[in-house]
Amino acid sequence: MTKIANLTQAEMEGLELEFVEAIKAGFPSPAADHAGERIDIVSELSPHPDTTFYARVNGDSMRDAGLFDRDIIVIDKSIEPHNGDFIVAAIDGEFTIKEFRHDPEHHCGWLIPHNPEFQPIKVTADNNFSVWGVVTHSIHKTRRY
Amino acid sequence: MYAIADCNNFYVSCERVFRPDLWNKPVLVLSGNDGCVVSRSNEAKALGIKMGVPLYQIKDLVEQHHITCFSSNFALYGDLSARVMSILRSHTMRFEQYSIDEGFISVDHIPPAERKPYCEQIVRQIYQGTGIPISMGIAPSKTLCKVASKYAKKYPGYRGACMIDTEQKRLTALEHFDIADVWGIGRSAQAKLSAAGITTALQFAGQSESFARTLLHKPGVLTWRELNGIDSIDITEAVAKQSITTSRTFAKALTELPELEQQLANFTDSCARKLRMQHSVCAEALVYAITSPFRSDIQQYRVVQKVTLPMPTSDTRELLSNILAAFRPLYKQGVQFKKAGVIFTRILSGNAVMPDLFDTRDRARDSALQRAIDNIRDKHGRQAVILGTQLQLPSQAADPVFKAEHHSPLYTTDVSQIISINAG
Repeated sequence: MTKIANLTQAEMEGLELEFVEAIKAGFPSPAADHAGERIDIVSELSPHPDTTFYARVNGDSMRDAGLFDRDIIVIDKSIEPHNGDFIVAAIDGEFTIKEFRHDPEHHCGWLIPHNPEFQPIKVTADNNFSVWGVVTHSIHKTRRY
Repeated sequence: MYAIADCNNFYVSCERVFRPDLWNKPVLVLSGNDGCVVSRSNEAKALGIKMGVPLYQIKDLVEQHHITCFSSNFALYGDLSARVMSILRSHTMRFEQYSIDEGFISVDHIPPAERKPYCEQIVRQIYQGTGIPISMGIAPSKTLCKVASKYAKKYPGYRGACMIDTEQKRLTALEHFDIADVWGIGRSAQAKLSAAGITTALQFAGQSESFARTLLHKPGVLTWRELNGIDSIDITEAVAKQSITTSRTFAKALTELPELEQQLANFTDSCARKLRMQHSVCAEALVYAITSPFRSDIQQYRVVQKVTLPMPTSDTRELLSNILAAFRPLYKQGVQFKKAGVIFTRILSGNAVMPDLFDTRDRARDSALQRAIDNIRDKHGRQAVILGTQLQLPSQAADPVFKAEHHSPLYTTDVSQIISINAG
């Protein structure tokens, strides 16, 4: 006959119990066959992680488009910029974030702010201009604390 | 056929990605500990600044031309390197990374006529996606790839990718290529070849195989074959074979043991870091310290000591204690040491090490500590945690040149340091 005895405190010292995964008890979970990956917001925000960079907005010129001062923006460098995209541009040695508009009629481009207090910037062949990356998302903290 | 992707002026290019104000300006990146130039922009090269030169020797030039200097920011370089290599890997399963800024891919799956345009497209893709300019060289052997990539780097007409795919192109490329710039030809091999009247890659490739064997032994034969278009070098082996070295010529000769130990600790630290980056361990090292050979007025003395590690390791503390133990008995008071260095001479792959029955070190604990230290340093700079031996001695006045004061932000690895974009 198998005996079951309580262990004393002394006997318990140094005794390590291993956790055995395979023991089943009770009913199997009805959700086990439907297990999904938990949502990973980072992979949603950056489908191309190798070419995705983050930056912080410094200023209000894009305020009316929902890009606020101190927001974090997601920039994908691999995307070809299209008319109307928000871009990070390097113009004459400085980064700026604006809406990009192509103006084939006047052979130039425009960097358009979204705030009536700011003027659009005309981009011509005389400028040292390049598109650094296309802004795909902005992350705005809504809680004040 | 292989193609190498070789990042142009890699460390400088990394710094410039986030600094449009420095595009087309002279920029230097300095080594962490000793303030030597480790990466130069083309504008800095044009000013005559040589690789490896100590900053104090070019101080005037730096001020005169407003050259921007950065301390090494390995967290940034490592991240951008991983991005470049990942894009390369996405093109083929047959990819091998050779160093932080070089990787080889196989282009066998691309029809011959499309290989050059294909690589030109990779050059554009990596530049647009990461901001890192690269050059590609396409050839039947890896050594010829390196030759081709140098041409691609030098002449914009190649649009970033140069291909050596015919005998005529191979001969022309090698004819105008300095033997000293050939991959795998070190300084001593170059001296031997130069003594034999050989100065171009073509002259060497045109010799017989037995000539290469007699003069330069097995490594020379491999290079000779590769230059003749025969694929002979296995990268995984080549990477493991490299030795790692850090040395320095002192502006003012060192005489005191603590000063020398401090330097040796810095050298060991730097070598061990590189060792861990390539997931290798060191089985044997060489420590040396010498007096100036140009001073006939002082007592000449040299220490060159082999250090055999009881167990191959990449642990800085373990390496250093063995190196110092080998050096101390040979130190002589009053000797003016002008140059010293540490070379890891026998490097093994990290997972090829057999545990030793009589090993007394707690290796799991050591490597956990080492990892923790590396993490802190990646985040807060290399001076954040140092060994006691590396501490500045009271006798040493702070030299502003050698401070890591030019460290750029961790743009891609710390959210509090991401770039700030002007929306004003």
